[in-house]
Amino acid sequence: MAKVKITQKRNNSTEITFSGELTIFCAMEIYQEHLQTIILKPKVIIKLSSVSEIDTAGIQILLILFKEITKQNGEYEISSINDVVNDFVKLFNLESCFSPSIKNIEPPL
Amino acid sequence: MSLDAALQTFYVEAQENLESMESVLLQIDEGECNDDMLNDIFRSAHTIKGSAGIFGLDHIVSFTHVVENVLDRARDNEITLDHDLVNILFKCRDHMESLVSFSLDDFQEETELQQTGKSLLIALSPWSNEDLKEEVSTKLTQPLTSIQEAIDDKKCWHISLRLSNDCLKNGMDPLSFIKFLASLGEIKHIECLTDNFPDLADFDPENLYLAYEIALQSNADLATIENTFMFVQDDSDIVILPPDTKIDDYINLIENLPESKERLGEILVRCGALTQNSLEQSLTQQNKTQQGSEHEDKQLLGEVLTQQSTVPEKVVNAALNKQKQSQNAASESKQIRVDSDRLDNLINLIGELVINQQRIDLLAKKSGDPSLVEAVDDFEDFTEQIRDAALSLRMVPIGGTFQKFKRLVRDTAQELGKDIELIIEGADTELDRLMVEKLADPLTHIVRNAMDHGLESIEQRQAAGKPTKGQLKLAAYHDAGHIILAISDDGNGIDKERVREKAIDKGIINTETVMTDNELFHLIFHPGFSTAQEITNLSGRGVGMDVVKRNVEALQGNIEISSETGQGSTFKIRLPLTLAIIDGFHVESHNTHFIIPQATIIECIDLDAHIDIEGRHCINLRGDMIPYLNMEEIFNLTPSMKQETNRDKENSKRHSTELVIVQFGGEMAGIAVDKLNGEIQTVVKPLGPIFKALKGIGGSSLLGNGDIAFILDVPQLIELAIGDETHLTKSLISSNENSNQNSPTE
Amino acid sequence: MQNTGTSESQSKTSQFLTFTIGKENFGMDLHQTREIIEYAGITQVPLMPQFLSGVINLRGEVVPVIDLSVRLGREAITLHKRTCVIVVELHSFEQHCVLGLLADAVNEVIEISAENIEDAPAFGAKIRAEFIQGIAKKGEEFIVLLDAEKTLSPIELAYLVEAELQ
Repeated sequence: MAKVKITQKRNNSTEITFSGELTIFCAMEIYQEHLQTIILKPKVIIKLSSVSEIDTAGIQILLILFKEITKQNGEYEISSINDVVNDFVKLFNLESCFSPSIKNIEPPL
Repeated sequence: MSLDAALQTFYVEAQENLESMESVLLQIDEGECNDDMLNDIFRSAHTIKGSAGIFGLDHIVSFTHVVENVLDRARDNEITLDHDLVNILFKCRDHMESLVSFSLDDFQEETELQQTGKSLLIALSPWSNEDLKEEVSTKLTQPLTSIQEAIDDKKCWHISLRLSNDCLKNGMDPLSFIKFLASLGEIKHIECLTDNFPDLADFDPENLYLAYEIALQSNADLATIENTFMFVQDDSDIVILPPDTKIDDYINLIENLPESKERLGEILVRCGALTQNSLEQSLTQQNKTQQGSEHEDKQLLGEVLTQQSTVPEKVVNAALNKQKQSQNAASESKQIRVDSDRLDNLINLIGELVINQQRIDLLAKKSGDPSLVEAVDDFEDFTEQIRDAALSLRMVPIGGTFQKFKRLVRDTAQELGKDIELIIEGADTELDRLMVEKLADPLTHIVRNAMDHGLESIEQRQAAGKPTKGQLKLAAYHDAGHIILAISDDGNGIDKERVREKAIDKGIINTETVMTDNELFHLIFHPGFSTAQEITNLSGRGVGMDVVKRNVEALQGNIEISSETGQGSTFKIRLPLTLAIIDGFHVESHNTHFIIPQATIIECIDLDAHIDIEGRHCINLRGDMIPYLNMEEIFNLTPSMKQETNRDKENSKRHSTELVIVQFGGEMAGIAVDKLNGEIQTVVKPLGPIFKALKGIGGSSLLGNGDIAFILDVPQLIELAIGDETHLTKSLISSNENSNQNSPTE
Repeated sequence: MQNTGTSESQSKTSQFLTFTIGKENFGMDLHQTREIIEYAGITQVPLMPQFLSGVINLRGEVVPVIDLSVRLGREAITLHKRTCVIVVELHSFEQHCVLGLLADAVNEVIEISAENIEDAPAFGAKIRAEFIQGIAKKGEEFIVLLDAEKTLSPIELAYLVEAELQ
């Protein structure tokens, strides 16, 4: 399944770590339990290096998150990513949403 | 439909098409040939090729393409399907069947299979087109060294995808489509549109909001690309614009898509479909000409495009949905696929319904309320009808299985150098679908056995004064709640001496053993037995016949053999018609409840006078001597605890006063019991593997009051009652000559 | 990274249903036992060996009932008011297999850690070694843990029935 950890940091940022499966099977759970009522600080750090599997539903979760952040006039940064997510991003030409910070490429767990 | 399920459907449909091809080839082989058949077989190959294309199964596509080409020429009357070509086509069809079972990756490992494919294609070359090789190279989408050049052509398709919202919920992920498209060539550019995303609060994570615009460089044909989306085309808007599409057509596309024109225009430019200039030019132009015109819908787009003479005719069809619909309509038949688990579930539920209905029946009778009893009787009628209707869903005609033997017989006959004709009778006879699968092997073995050992060679038959064409007959019919499958041949019969010798050799019997012909024939079912002088690779390996017997017995059936030297042999497989719900007759013996299948019952009579002949109970039924079995004796039924008083012992003398006469396979016998309780519908509850060895009982059933009754296996009981037939007949003759003796029941 | 690991520091414990036949206490893996019902009569199946007491109607399913006492080489169980049937479900065979066992009394469910289960003694056991999964020690008592799949193997039981019928 999926795990989402949301930490509100003292430097006025929100840190969101996705791990496990980010797929259609977990999408509803992730949305209802974490995203629907999420509190987003002006800066959001997103960590994706522990995502073991991702599909279109998963990407949509991320995209809606990005959209929401932008709508709230915040900014976000992908502080870590892995091959699993990166392959998907490249295939669908979504680098622009996931850049500028594609650093720390770690192997998927 | 998920990709896995789609792949499954592909296999099933490919198999059906392959079977259809075989069927037509057999007909052509036998001398028939007409346009319809040629069209049929072409279409089968064409469909397989197309569907294989969707899944990137290029090894199938490239091979089938050549076969399809030959068949195309045949239906155009450019070539004729003579005997040689038909032989090759049989082999090609077989090869296709092998290919279908391999994924593309696995196929790369199969060097032998690849070799076979190549030789077959070479064998086909006299009949295929001169420019075949070039066509093949341009149609193949997997890059081979010879088509690198073709790839360099900028054949760029534009694909616009607005898939249904429910796509993800239905298990289809656009990821698979994109990956598949990528396998057809190269995705030059792709744009994901997020215009449809709602606010976070309204977001449904299982909905698909993404839309796609894709530039695909590929040498695949339109059909292949279209077919990619075959399984999601309902509720989806998919537009495929081939290479060389005019700018106007792109403009039309932009007009018709939900997103804003400017955005779409930009996207198309990024996709390389348009240049910025031409976009601007055309948009202004479009605006001018379209003032006052109606809003075009997708259908119109397709028409507009095809009307333009610059667009190749067979290329563009933007009304993907419409085309697919019309294709489906053509292939629609009056059958539907039903998941077999669901069917079994339905039958189980009906079984429970039947049991429940009987409980109600009992209670109604107890209540004595006449209108209630009547209503429940009506209810029983309907329950029976539902039961029969549901069971009939599981019945399939045996014809399908028999048909498969045509090919086997043809090939085997050729291999053996014999002339053999297969005759099929009773193809419409129906039996439980589960059995059909399990019978395939036993039937195959018996058929091969008949062809190998039973039927003689052409010279032998001529020498014996028989027609050179040997006859092999597969017949099926119903008899008393059973289905009989008879495999007969007009060959030289089972060689009794050889069987005897072999059995002695294998230590199964010794030289003094006296056996009837029937017992001798049944020796061939003994494990490790074989009468073949040499072990051919067809049969006679010594592992066949005993497995056949076991398989048949596992289905609660049995096999009978009859054979006459010089004339032929017949193997008869008897199986119960259905294993689920039967019409039964409830009887009792010593407080043990039994059910006798109604289909086997001839009549019920009082049992008073009986005769014992050679230790068997018999009764004189209107002049015929019928043996019978006393259930109490056969099953060693002990009196219950209650019946220990002297008076009960007295009463026990009056037990077994009812006799039920049953028949099976032309034989009759009696079953003696204490009480007859009447007809009931019976849900068969198998007793389970622990009780497999119990003879005479073939399952259990629940009575209305919850008690358990045992269903009698009538064929087994009759066999037991009759025992050695000739032996008994002899004694009957001698006993009839004496006067009848009366003795009290025991 | 989130800490989601469960503590695996304790050794594995298993749960067993314990019951009494005659004077002996037995146990069986709880996963294999499906339910316990009162003995309410049984239908004898003709010609069966002694260990096969008969069949019962369990909510529409015809379930064979084994006299475990006989199966383990002892005297047949004496039926009384409190006799019960332990319904067991075996998974390791091709066909789904449900059987009932006669017991004098069903006791509690116990939880035993692997370290408190000893192997069957090499000698002196009055039961075939392969039937025994282990011997559990609970306080002062010893409970013989039976391996349901082996003790009630339908293949072996079928074979015994066949032998009886010949």
